[in-house]
Amino acid sequence: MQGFAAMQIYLPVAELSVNWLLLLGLGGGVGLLSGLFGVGGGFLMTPLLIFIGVPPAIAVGSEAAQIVGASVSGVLAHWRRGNVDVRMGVILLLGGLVGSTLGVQIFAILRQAGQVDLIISLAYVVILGAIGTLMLVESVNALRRARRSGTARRGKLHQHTWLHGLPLKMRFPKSKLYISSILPFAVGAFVGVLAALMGVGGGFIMVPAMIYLLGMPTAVVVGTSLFQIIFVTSNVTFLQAWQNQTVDMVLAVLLLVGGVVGAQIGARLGQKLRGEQLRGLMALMVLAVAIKLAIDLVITPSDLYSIGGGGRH
Amino acid sequence: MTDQTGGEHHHRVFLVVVDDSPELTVALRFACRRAHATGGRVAMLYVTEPVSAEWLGVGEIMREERRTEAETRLQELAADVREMSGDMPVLHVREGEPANELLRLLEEEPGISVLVLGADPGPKGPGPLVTALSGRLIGKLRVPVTIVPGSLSYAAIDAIT
Repeated sequence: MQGFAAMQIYLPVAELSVNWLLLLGLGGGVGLLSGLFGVGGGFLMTPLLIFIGVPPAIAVGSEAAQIVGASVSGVLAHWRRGNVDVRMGVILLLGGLVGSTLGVQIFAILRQAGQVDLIISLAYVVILGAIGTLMLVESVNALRRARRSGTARRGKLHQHTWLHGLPLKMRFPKSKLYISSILPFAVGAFVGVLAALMGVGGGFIMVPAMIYLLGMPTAVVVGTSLFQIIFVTSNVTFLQAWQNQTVDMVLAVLLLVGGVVGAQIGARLGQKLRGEQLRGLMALMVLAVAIKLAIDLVITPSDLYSIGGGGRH
Repeated sequence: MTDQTGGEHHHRVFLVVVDDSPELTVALRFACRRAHATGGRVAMLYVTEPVSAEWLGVGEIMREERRTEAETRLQELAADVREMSGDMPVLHVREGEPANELLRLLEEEPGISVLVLGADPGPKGPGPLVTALSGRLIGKLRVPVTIVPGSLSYAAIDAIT
């Protein structure tokens, strides 16, 4: 991170001087990817921040703040087209608030034990490794299948399982569902814990869960998940700043500015590429990040149990 | 792309782009009346939103639901077209950006001879397709465009056609 002194900006909470152009570029680059792939950038941005020397705990807290901003700009288009199921969103949100508050407490306990940076990196290696592998397998299969014809199907839409016997049933007219509100609450809570511990919005888990577990129509899943993410990551940002002092607003704002610009460009580029190719590309990138994190865990053992001390590598 | 009835190239084909705008009904009425009067046919294009890089099969389900939605909508409109023009329309479903897919369809289907677009009469402008096709994309068009103001009544259209 050496550059001209004038290009350096001091991140007050991360206690780190970084070239501000690098942060704008990082925000722009991840924004471009998230616009291109139609996903939030949290699960790529947090590891990248760790790579440039931001302590993992600060990366997680600050990235949550950035996701709030990015999701607000993302949800507007869905809101205008009426693609947000507010009632479902509120139940997911209630779960999300409970989960994220719990997550911040776990974060605080791990931090006191001096283990938080290790757990964050480990969680990323496991989750990114799993997601990357699944995506890669899926992409290879899709490319093979493309030679023959035929599409994947979601089996029967309304199969009855024990999940449908749960109490507290509610009607969700927008999603045309009558299901137990415990289900969306639990999905929201799980994603909330992830948001607090990993600094992600959690859309990549929530969207498939909304479709397969809740049975929501695809038209409303993305808008509804963004609706939940805005408020859950706001809660994470507030609690992380208040309880753990791990939110660097200078860092978050620089990433957000770059991210909003990058996402616009990415969305336009994305229309020119095919979904299968994009997914394959993203799988490779996710795997690369997981491998780099895993290597860093093994070769820098002195950093595993520390959060303070400048966090420089 | 679905070509449910097969194109006959010796008739004039009037292409209408289906979207959620209120002026669609006016454009469709005009196209049907013109087709009926000239012995031509109506074709309809529905462009679905492209699916991003979703995983766990989410993308495939999204694509399938959007396509089903498109087909349902086209079938409903096809009944109206049959009533107004006396003939079943040709139906096209494509995925992507509307203006690009429209230009591509015109290239691939030489039978289409006129494009009929409805224009939003409100203060916000005529709508994205009319703006793009009468502006920066006009050089790429292979056929003439008829722009029908959304403010016309059925009676007014019937009088012209």
